[in-house]
Amino acid sequence: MLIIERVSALNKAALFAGVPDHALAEIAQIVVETSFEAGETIIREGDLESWMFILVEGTARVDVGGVEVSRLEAGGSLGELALLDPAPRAATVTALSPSLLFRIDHATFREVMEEQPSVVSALVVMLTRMLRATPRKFPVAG
Amino acid sequence: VTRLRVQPAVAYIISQALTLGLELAFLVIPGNAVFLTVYGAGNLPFVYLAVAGLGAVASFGITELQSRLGLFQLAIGSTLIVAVLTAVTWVLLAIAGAQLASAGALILFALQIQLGFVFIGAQVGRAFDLQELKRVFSWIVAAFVIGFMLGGYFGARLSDAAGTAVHLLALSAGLALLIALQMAGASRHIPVPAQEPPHPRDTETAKPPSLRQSLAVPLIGAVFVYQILSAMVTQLVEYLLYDRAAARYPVEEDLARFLGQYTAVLNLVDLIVLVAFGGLLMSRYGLRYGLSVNPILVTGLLLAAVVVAAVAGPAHVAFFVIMAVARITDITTTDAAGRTSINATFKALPTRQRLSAQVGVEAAGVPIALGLTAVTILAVNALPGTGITNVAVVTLVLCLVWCWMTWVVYRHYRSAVVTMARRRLLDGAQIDLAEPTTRGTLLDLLRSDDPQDVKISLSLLDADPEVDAAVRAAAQSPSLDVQRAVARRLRSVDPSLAFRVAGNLMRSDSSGHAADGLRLLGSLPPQENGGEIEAFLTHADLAVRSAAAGALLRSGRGSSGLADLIDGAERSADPEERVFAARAIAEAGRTPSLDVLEALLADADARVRGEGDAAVAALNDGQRIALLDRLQGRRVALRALRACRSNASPEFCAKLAERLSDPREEGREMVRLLGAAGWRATEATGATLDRLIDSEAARIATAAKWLDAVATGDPALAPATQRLRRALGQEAAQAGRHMIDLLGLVYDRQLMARVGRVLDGTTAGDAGISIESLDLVLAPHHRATVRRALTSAFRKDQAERSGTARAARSLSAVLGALAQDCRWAAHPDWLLACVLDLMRVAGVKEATDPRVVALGPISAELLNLRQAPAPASGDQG
Repeated sequence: MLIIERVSALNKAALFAGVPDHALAEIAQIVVETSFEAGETIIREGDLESWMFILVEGTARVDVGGVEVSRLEAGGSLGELALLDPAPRAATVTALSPSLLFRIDHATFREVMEEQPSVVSALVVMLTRMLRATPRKFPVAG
Repeated sequence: VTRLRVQPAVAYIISQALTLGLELAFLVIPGNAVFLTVYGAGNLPFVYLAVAGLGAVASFGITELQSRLGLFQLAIGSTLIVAVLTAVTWVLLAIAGAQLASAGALILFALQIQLGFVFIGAQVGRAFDLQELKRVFSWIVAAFVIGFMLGGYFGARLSDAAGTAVHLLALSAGLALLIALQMAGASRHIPVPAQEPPHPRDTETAKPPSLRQSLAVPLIGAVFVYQILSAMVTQLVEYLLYDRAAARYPVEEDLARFLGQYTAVLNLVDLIVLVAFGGLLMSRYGLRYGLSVNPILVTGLLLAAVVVAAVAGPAHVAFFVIMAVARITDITTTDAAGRTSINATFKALPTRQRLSAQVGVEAAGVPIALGLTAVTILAVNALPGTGITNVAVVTLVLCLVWCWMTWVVYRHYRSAVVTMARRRLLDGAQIDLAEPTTRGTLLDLLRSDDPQDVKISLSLLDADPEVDAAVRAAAQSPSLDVQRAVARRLRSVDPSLAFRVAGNLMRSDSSGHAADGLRLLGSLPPQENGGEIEAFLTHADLAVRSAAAGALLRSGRGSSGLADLIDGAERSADPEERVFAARAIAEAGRTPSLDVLEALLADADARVRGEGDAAVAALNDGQRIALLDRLQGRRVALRALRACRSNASPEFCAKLAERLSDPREEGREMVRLLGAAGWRATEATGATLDRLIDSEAARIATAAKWLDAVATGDPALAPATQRLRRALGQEAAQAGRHMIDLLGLVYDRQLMARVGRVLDGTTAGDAGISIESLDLVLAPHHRATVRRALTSAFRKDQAERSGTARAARSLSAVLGALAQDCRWAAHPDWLLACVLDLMRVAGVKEATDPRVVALGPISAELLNLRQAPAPASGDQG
């Protein structure tokens, strides 16, 4: 994939919505393109890994405890929590169709966050949405 | 302007306090004289019950009405009602001979003292800020006490002259009218506060805790009980005194004379103690003294009174004298120490809890105390035996409980201070270190076995002279954790002891202790123990090894081999070794070689780069500047600059400002760094900044020019055209943001940051208003340039205009020209990549022309003219 095409793909990811294209061009040079066939597991619940993915092409299913909780389309991200808090994966994600993903590892993503505050903002929004969607084990306002 | 408005307000408020003192003296003297003569002190509890009930009703009424009426409407209306009721009381007593009206005078006295201070306090709060308020409030209290004292003195003289105290009520009614007039006068000089509508979320989440919730907090509950006991003892002592006074002066005129003179003496003593000793004693002995002096002295006097009553009977003059002294002592110590101390205890609570607790305790405490006092007196008097002695005994018992509560409040206060100290970084609480008890509590924390407490105490009491002794004591603690907590401070307090602590820590099995021991040793003057440190260079734990290398580097004890060791580590293929090199530099705060640091910043491993950032952040100013001067790679230079954001000293900023004219992105990062460090433009840098502002304006104009030129109606070219237009728009917006950063160095940085946020996030209309508002701030020579440039940079309709504009020239001509003209951009490589991509998609043959491609060294890679790595199937890393 051309670097300029990778920028277009990253442009569609909610996580990088506020990042200017020239900065995405730099991120595009450090992401690792990874492809999965339909039915292949992208991440497995309980595994200890320190990277995240941006889904560029294809669709994927997210299962928690064997129960499907959501589906991901192109532009979605998965495994962000592991970048912030190195803990076992919270869900299993399986490719539903031949999929292309960008992989970003922990240290690289930290640098991106330092250089691009808008990524941090997007991440906070994403985490807030996750909290809202979580059953109320603890009080969350709003 | 503020001073001119405030001066008459001060005069009006102080005169109100003075008049209030006079009015209340003229109300209480006849009230007490008639009531005690006719009904005796034994009936005072019924008055207390009435005051408790009516006081609660008045508090509720005021709270309800203040939201509907303005402050002055409410204050003047209430005061006029008091004036009318006082006049009615006078008529009933003087003309109708209704002696029961004297109870009304006593009730009015109790209500008016409460209302008077509420309204004066509200005016003060509205007219002054906190600093002025503290200064003015002592004058207001003094004016009230003087008024009361004069009222007592003249009350006695006038009663003598008139042959009765009853006519003082007429004067009191007149003085109440005068207060209403003074309030009307004050209203013309005290501004009405702007009403801010509550944020919808505030009404849900910021609801103040209820009184019950507040009382569940141990400190608030203890203060509540303390306040009730204090008010009960005050009331009981007053009762005992009035009972004896009524017995000693059975004739109304004699009683009125005594009450007047006693009131004058009481207030004179109060004033003297307040002015001469109050502040002095509070600042010297603090809250512990302030809380305990009142109960202890009153308890002592009550004990003496009970002994006299038991031995000589309550009718003995000594009992009367002791009660007179007890009342003066109670009032003066309450005013000089008790009230201030209680207010100070609330400062150990979070702000939201504090305000509701203060209001709740004050509002509920006084009526409850009055009711309990009345019930207590009635119950005791119903017991067989000598009533007044029993009341004195019960009062003594209450005093003893009050003394015990002092200790309880003090204990809970200390706990609250410790909690506040632990939480202060979370909720930003301000701790008053000048308060002796608070300071004592924190010093005790320094003597704790808990290293966390020791650290908290040290962080707060850093400049305290008593800390050194406590640090020495802590260094002798058997706990290595405590020794570790004071290690840094010990360096300057007692270097020889610090050596011993460093040795203890280094010999510990814990890597954390050993590393801290090495750090401490490295910061001490060199001694003959370099070999001991070098032994740690081969330690299994990376943190210990780095600390050892840092200690040797910092203290200059390292052999020449140390530089080679770090250099070798940096060249190692093992990222762990490279991390060691970076950490050793960070520990030392200096690098043996700038080459090593530059290599660490450019390392392939992101973790090593991160450690390199920390090493740059720890460098001294000289090495930072030297490093920045030699860095050529854009990414590495930007990393180094971002790392320098922490600990940017004024000297470093001054040196950096000399390099502001750097036209590269590094120059823009420097501006951000200087802005974050609070650096302000100097005369020497003014011209450079003006030039940079003009240069950004030119960049915005160029981006706008190309934006107007690049357009096509061909749908096949739309994605590539959009990308190029977005690149141009982002160039303009980035130039606009940088212009705002530059203006932030010249003008108010916070204001400029707000303008930047508005421009980034609002509609076209708001953006326009925001830019126009800059005219109020900017110097004339900046106004026109800035307004035009920012309007263009933050044009909100850029996206909509895409693809609809008609190009004046052919697309290939425009792109050809733009490809030759990308150097003005902040990111020329990306811009050129977008141009070349559009040329490629549009079939413009020059797209692959090596001369065009060569314009940007990275653009070829961006366009993937050099092939990007193929996708790795199933590769999960």
